[in-house]
Amino acid sequence: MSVKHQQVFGITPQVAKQILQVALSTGGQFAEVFMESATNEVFRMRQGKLESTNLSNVKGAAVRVIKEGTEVSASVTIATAEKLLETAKTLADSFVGEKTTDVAEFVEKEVNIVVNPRQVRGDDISKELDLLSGATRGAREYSDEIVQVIALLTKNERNIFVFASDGTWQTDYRCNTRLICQAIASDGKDMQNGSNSFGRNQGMEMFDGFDPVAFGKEAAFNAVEMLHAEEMQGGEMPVVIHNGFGGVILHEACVHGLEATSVAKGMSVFCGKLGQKIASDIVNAVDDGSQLDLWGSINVDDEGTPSKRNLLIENGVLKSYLVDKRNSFKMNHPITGSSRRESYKYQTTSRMTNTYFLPGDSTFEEIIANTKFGLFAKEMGGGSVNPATGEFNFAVNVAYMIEDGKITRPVKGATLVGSGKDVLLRIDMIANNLEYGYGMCGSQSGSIPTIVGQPTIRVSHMTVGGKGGNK
Amino acid sequence: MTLDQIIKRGLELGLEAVEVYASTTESNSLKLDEGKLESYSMKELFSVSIRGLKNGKMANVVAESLDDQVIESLLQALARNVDQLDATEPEFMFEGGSTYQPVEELKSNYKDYTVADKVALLKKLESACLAVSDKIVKVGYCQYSETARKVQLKNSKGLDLSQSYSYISTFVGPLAAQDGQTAVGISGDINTDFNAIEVDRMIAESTQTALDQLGAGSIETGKYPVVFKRDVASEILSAFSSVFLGDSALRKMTILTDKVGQKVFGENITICDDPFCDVALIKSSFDDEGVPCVSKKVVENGVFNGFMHTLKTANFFGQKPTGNGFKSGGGAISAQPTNMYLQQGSLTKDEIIATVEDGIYVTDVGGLHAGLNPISGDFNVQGSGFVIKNGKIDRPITLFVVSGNFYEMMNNVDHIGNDIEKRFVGVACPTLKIKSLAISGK
Repeated sequence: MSVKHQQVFGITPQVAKQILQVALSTGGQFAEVFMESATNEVFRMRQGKLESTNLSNVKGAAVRVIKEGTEVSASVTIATAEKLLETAKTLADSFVGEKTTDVAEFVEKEVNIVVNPRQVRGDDISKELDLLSGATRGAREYSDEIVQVIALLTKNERNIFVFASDGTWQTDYRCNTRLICQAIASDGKDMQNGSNSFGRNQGMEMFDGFDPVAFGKEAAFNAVEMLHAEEMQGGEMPVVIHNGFGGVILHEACVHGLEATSVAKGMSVFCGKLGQKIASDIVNAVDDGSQLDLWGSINVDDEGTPSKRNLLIENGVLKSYLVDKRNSFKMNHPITGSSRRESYKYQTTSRMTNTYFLPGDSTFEEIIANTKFGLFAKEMGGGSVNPATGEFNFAVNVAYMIEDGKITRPVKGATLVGSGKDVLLRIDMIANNLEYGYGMCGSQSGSIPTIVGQPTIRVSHMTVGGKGGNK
Repeated sequence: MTLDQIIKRGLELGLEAVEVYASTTESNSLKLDEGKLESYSMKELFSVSIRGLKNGKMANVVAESLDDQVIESLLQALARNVDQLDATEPEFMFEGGSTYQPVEELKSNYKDYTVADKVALLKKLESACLAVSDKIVKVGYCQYSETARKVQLKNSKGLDLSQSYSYISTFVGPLAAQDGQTAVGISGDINTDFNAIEVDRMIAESTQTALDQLGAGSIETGKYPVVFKRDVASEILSAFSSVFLGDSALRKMTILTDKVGQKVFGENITICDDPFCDVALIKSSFDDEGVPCVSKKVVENGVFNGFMHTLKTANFFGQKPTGNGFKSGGGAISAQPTNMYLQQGSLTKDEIIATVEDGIYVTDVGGLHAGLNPISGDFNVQGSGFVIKNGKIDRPITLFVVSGNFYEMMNNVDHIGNDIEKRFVGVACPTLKIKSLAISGK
């Protein structure tokens, strides 16, 4: 929080108060000014050569007013005090009425600092280049079948400032840094893609002790393994989903449907299910933005609410939704520190941070040994869900068959589909090996960094797609 | 700083050529929920992307203000970064002085209408959807947006171009429910004339889609003839459009890399990229590098004619520029289609379905961003739709996976519909019937 008292756009608390007063002048019950100054940097290396660099400055503000459930908002790039006052007036003019709510005294809350990026930028980019070269080398040296390697390093450094009529006065500083390696394997006929990703809400210090060569090698392993895999033969079967990015199943199949964005509008299969059983008894899940330095962590959310650990599912019972300020009025549900936006250009709303299943009692080996026939989904790809129907899909990037309690041959092209309300009830084993995966989640308020995580789990039966077989 | 001052300052810092691309976007969006305005959001956004060339290398920066200090520090970073690059393929900046085919400006009349008019339109959409059937329990999405954008492109080599456009987009998504099962139907409209927004079509399409999916069951795993609804066919073609791009060829991320001039698809397949296409919404004279856009057949009767290029990839492959260099994230240029479409055939959708004795009509797919491999051409996507029996739509089905390979599929298209979408944006495809695809279900 080194930037606590910095000002962007010359907006002092006094000016912010004026803007909010104008915004509330026609009966608005809540008003907010959000300001942002951010830098995005991308370094892209292809085949060991630095191919491009992008550097973007993002700087702007958003003002919103809520009255009786209607939110009017404006996002403006040119955000001087005059412009924001004029914007507040335009927003207020959308309503007709007398002033009912005053701006509360701003209170700077002490916040527990969980992310504190340090070495964001050095004197030169040698550290960045070393990482990219290391990952590239690791991938290329793994196999002669690797024909192309792309390594990317992205840094998204953000300062945000929030003033709201409820007395909120918060700033936050974040830097989401991520290394990605993509390797392409070819045998002259087929081509397969393998990737690896590692991200934290930290500066370059996150790479102290990190081995980029091993990281690149893993991307290459995934590509080569799938190059020599058979096509998945589709059907319904038990599916063992491995730890780490496997947690995308929780993210897609359930938690998008717990976001107030869907729930407040009655557009989720989990509406009205608080206190009810939505998963098997062994399932516990959290969304926790308050973990030290994690990729999806934030000190405060984009409404200035401190992040916290939200227990979503306890022993199979739904305990909480993810709720932002606006929807908390509507749903009569406490706010959960989950309001996020890609930038001031998007309207903020309830989103995930670090979301994962808690560990269970089984071991990974027990789960495999107890599965007569099924799919072992080792590395998951992305997926999507329609929260209103709960129907989801996701790609499996690296998969194997399980036969007679043993992992046997690799299979490619497996896709999992299902319904969120069924799949959680079918989880019958959970291992004790919790790990995290690093993703970008795209939804209404833009693309934001989120962790998906889990220990290895088994789903008793699921539809698996694939084009193999002779039927 | 003005745009000209930015160019001048960039040259002073040792860059050999400097380009600025400034865009101003105004957009307003209204959402309705249960008869009430849920949100009204306004945006006034500005950004300037600056590219600098030195020794055949190109670096770029983006600013959201013309503030002297911000621009100066970004220009300095740009000058530093360009010296760090060591890619071997040379980059170029386009000279001014070309002749451009003029196009009519896309101009919407939305400013002639009040916010109240727009709210009234949404209320009509919502209430009319609810009135269609008791089973329509909610209109989850009811949204109107208007966008106006102005772009200016200038460089130190005499290029000075500008373009403006504005349009309206509207969409509605009713939710149908019965016996604990829910289904959503989405329909949208993109238009320039507020009065011409196709409200009735959206109501009919979206409610029918939702209602028809109620009671959807499962399907046995197997190989089936498949008819793709035109929206689905368009989504799949769009998701695979990268295989026709020069950047993909440069990165060896397309199987078409060594296939220029060869027959890659069935003879009935012709794919065009036409910046002046009559049925497309947006027409363009030039791309984001300032290169004149040209109309071309990417695939003609199954033969692959060549990639769509940026200046860099055209040079690398020794080809003429095609006017396909567009800005993507972060202001960098990559090859993208202008208006790409698969040339339509002669049959209606119903006539195509009538040719199928026992097959699947896929009306919606999910997971295209993850479930496909543009390199191998393999795809595995979540589907919903209908069983076709004896040439007629039978029962609704959901939660199955459609699997195939794009290259194989394009060699197995039996029928092509005559129903390409009007006012399409980006990529369009008519209804397609595929000989056989793997379906995984029960």
